[in-house]
Amino acid sequence: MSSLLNSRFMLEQARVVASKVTSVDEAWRRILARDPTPEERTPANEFIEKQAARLGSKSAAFAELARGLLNTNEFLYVD
Amino acid sequence: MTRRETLLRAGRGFGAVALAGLLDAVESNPLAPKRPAVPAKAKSIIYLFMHGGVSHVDTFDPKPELTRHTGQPLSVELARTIKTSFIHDPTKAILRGSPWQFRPGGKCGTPVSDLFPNVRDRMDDIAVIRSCFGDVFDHAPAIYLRNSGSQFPGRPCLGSWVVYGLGSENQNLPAFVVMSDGSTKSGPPAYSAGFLPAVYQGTVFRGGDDPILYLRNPEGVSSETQRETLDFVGKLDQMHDAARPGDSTLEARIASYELAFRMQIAAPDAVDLSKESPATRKLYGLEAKLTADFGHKCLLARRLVERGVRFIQIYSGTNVGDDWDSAHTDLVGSHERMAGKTDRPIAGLLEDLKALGLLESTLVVWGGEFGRTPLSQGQNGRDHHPYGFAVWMAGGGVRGGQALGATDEFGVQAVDKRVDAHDINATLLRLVGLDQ
Repeated sequence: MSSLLNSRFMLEQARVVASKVTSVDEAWRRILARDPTPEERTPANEFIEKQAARLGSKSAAFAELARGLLNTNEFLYVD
Repeated sequence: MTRRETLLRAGRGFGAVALAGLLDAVESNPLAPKRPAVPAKAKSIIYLFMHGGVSHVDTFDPKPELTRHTGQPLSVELARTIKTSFIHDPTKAILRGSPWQFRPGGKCGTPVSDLFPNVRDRMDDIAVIRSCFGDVFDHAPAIYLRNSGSQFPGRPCLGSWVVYGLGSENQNLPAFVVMSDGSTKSGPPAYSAGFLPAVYQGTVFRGGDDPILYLRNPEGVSSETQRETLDFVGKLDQMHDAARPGDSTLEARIASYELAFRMQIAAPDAVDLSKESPATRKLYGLEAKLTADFGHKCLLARRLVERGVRFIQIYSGTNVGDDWDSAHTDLVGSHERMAGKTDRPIAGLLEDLKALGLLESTLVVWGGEFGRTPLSQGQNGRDHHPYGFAVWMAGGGVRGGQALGATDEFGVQAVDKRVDAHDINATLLRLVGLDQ
C-alpha cells in the first residue's frame, strides 16, 4: 500500500501522465479510460485548485491528481 | 499518565479523526478495541513459528529409550501407524537417538537439549506441551492446519480471529503483524483472514532496518497534501465501492490506505531500534551476525506489543535458504544453524518482556507445523513427523516450569494428554479472552 502511495516510481509515473493532461477530463481519460461523472468532476476541479495553491503550479497539482487516480480501486482492480 | 498511555491515547485520538471521514461509509471502525468475551489473561500474542519442522526429540522432548535403541527398527505395529514423506518404508528404517545432550533448565529442571541453551535458562517461565499431534505430514497443509484449524487454505487464521474479536489497542499500526525470513512454504494463506473481512489479514513487515518500505511521503508532498489526496481517493473509492456492495477487499483497501497514512506517523518510531540500550541489543543478539536478524524481529515484536499491537507472528526458516527442513539430509547442520539463529533472541525476548512487566500480558508461543521422525532418513536426516511433537508457551497466564503430556518412549506417537491444533488454538484464544 505504502509503495503504491509513496514510492519514487509511482511519483514519476504520476508526473509523466500529468505532463500530458491539462484538464480533469483528460486525466480521467488517460488513467481510467472514461470521462468523469459530474459527481467526480466537481471535487476533482476543487482538488486541482487547492493543490495548485499549495504546490505552486497547475502541473504539480495535476501530478498529485494523477497520483491519486493511480491509487484508486478502480485503477488497481480489474472489475 | 505514562509515556505509553500518552502514545496510545494520542494515537487513538488521531486515528479516530482520520478515520471519521473515511470509514463512515464503510461502517464503524472494524479494528476498534472490543471487550473480551470472557476474562482475558493476555492482551497480545507473539507466535514464534519455526516453520519447516523442528525435531522434537532433539529439542524439548528427551527420549533416552530412543538413544538406547539407535540402529534398531521400530516394532512393525508402531511403524505402521505413521506415514512419511521421504522414508520409503517406516518398518524398515532405523531409530536414531539425538546427537545433542539434554540438561535440566531453571529451578523446575525441565530438560532441554544443547540446541537451545539460552531458552533452557528460561524454563521456569515456560510450559512445554510434548503431546501435540496433527494428521497432515506435508508443510503447507500442516502450516494451514496449525494456523487456521484446516489443512486447506481459506479459513481465517488465529491472528485474524484475534483481531476480529478484540480489535486493536493501536489504530496507527497494523493490529496483526507478520515477519518472515523470506518466502515461506505455505505463502500468505497462512496469515489470511479467510472468509472474514480482508481488513483482518496479517500485515507483512520485512526484516532488517526497513521493516516497512515507503513510510515517508514522496518528495515534495507535504502531510496536508497527502491527507487531501487520500481524502480525494477515498471519496472516489467510496463511489466505486457503493456500486459494488459486499466486496470486502475494496473496503479493506480503503482502510489500508488510511492505515498507511497513520503508520507514516506512528511506525517510524515503532521500528526504530536505535534508541534501545546496548544491553538490550546484546540481550537479543543484535551484535552477533548469526542472531542479528531474528533478534531484530524479536525486539521489534516487543516494541509492537508495547504499542498495543495485538498479534505478531514471526516465521523462522524459509523455503529457499536457511531451513529447519534441511534436516531431511542434514539434521545436525540444519538444527545447529536454525537453533543458533533463534535461541539467543527468543531467550532475550522472554527475559526482556519479563523485566518490563509485559510477560504477564503477553503470551509467547513457540511451535511449528510438525516434528521430525525418530527414525533416521538416510545417514544424517529426519523426515516430517506430525504424530507427536512439542510446542511451548510462556507468559500470558500460562504457568511456567512444567512439561505437559508425553509421546511414547521413542517419541513416535503422542500418547498422554494428546492435543491437536484445535486444542492449542482454543487455548490461545481463551487466554486472550475469546470463547468458542
